[in-house]
Amino acid sequence: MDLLSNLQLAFSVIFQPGNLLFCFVGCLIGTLIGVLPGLGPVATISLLLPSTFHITPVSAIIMLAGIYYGAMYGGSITSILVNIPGEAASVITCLDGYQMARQGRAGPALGISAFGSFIAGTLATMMIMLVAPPLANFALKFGPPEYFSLMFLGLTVLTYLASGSMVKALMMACVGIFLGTIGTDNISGIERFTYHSYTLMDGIGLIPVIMGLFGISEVLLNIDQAARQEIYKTRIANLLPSLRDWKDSILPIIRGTFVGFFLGILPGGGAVIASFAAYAVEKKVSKHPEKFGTGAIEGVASPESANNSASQGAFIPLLTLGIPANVVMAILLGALLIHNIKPGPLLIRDHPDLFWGILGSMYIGNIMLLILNVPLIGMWVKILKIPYPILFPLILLFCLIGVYSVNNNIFEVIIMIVFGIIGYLMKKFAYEGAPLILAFVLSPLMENALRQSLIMSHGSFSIFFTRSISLFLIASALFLLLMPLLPWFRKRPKGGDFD
Amino acid sequence: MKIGIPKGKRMSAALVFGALAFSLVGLHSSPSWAAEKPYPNRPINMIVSYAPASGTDLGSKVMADKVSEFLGQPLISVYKPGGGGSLGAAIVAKAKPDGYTVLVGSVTPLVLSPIVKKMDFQLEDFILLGSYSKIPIWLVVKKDARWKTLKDFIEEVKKTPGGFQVGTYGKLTAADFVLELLNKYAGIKQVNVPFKSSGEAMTSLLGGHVEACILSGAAGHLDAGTARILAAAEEERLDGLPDVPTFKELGYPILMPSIYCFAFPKGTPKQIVDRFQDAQNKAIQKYPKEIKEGLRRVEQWAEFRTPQETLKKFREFQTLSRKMAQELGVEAK
Repeated sequence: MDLLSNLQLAFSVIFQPGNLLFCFVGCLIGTLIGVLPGLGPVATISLLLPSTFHITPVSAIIMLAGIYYGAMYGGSITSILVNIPGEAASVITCLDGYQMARQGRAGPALGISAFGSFIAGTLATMMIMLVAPPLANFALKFGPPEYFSLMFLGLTVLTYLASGSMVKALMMACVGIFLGTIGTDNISGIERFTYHSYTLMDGIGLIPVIMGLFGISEVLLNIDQAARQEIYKTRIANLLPSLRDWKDSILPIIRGTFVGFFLGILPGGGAVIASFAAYAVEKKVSKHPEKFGTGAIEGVASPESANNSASQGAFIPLLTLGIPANVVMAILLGALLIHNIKPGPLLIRDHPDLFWGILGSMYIGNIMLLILNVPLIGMWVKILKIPYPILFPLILLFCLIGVYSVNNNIFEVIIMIVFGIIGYLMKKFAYEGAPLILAFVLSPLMENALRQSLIMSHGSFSIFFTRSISLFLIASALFLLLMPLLPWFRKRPKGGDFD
Repeated sequence: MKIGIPKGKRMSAALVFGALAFSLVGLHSSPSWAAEKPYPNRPINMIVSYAPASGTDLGSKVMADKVSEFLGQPLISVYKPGGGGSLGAAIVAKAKPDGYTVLVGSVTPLVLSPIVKKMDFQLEDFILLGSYSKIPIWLVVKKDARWKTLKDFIEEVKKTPGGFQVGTYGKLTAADFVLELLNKYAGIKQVNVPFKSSGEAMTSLLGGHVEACILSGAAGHLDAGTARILAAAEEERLDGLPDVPTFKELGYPILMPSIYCFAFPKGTPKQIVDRFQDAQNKAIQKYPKEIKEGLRRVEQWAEFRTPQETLKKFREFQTLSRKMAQELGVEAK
């Protein structure tokens, strides 16, 4: 189909006043819930779903989509300002973003986060426009063996996340793997470590763990350090990224966009994994990896771009194949069904206004979000001036409500509090939370994929090596693992070899 | 010493005491004057034990839309996902039987879960209303697969050493039972590759990673022409799918009633249950076409039965499940 005429269709749909309004509302709501820790797009979209029954499907999806990728903009704000992730996908932004804030560079951090998200979102939309169907078919090629190999690669990348002691990071990863086993095993239907609790039967939720480990623990830590807590350099240097910041960030943004987009398309991938992976990639290719974790702007630019392009990439399987890549897409699929639209390979053909209208709304939505977020940086930065005795109880309140809002389950709130205490102790003793979270997210997926693959191959491990994509991924993982051992990569001290 | 409230503070004290007294009145869970109004006099909580936009959720919304008209009060979806549907069921089993908590019930949480896992509720702890919809479970293959009929499929499985991999949405689910029953009746070996949901299984099928799937729903792939249903575990052929045979007519008596109905906790007064059922009947009477179409859109089929018939079907499934669970060795003691 002619690209230009499609673009024309896209913009003609989005520029209808009703759709523009819904797009704006979606983006606004999305940003707000992204900022609020705990409350996330899933809960919000499912709450707003019934209200979309009486508007046209195009407007409905435009608004709900806006909420989803808008949340990726807002999630970084609290990560940077107070070290508490607003969204699961913003956990990794805490690492460097918060350090930047402590150095008085909250403005540039927020700025690069917003601009990075914008660039990533726009690029992702362009990519969807150009290569959606072939990409979707590529995503279909990922079966259990490919997922296993991908997760295997992901876990090797985990080691790059550690800023401090590698041993401690690996210990935390093991804890994460263990926590991931809790729940009902999908392959056998048997419960593990659930003690017959209905809540634990589905495993420990990601949101309570993240909010506890990063959110509540930070509140506890600050209460602990209240005496010494006088001064962050709240002298805000600039509000916007400098030229130097831009120079440092532009490549990370591009890399983050691609990593995120690719991981977002894969059903089961997602913004969380994308943000971790992008950060790790950045750290690996950086000329000064030791700066990560102390306020390197690349550590903010990359994951924030990744989570935005991942959230938009996730639309591809839904719109081209009718396959939801994550929970939010599943809800959108339900919304489409209710509006009597059958998602599937024929959606683009039968409802071109829907497909191109959504794409058009992504372009406009990203612009709206940039306009929403950048001027507000000055306002957000002032939050740092709120006295902690007022700020932190508020944050605590939002975390508690936010976690409850996910599943209406008070037990999950208790889980969050427990992890809050654990996280506090971890912070005191310098055990990092990021490896734990990555392992916690990846290991159940990996285990499922491993066992499904072995069922498929009747027990033979060769299935991972006879399928080309899987082989490539495993080879990459092994290469990355063995790279430090290879002589070409050993740094030789000036003046010749030793021994 | 005179004990009294100092003059200047009398106004504030009066306000405080007034507020306290007022709140004590409000602490009653429902004002007594409201309890005399006929049921229902406030919105009813509809507990959905799966995630939003799941089959359970969408079907219940179609019904709730029309039933609430005859009840005079809205039915509000409350999501309590967890334990494969058991969390919601457990909550309703223990809820106050005043008619304001109703479960969107189906066979998996109400019948299957208590048998294969240790639950602290069972089918007998619920009062079932008449069923309103069903989601058929069927065997699906890709449109361009080599088998055009179930017979072809079974023949090839018989010839393949080691059997076939067939994707389902989980172990110890209704789909799993269909798979095992087909194995038994056809004398073949299918190995269950469990995925987390029908959607995931379908994705794997389309990607060619499994040969066939037993699942519910096909999310538009049937219409799009990318999937074909070889057989459905139903009593008779489905409305709107005249070309899809049932297992039964092909000689394999496999029936898996995946029916949905509302369920109240045991002990709910009879007149409340009857009132709700009455509203449901009236809604079906007045809007049969809208409800059927609405359900079809979300890939369900209307299945209007009386409470007695529904309970009978659930009981039949219970007997079958107990037998299967024993045979497979998965019964929870």
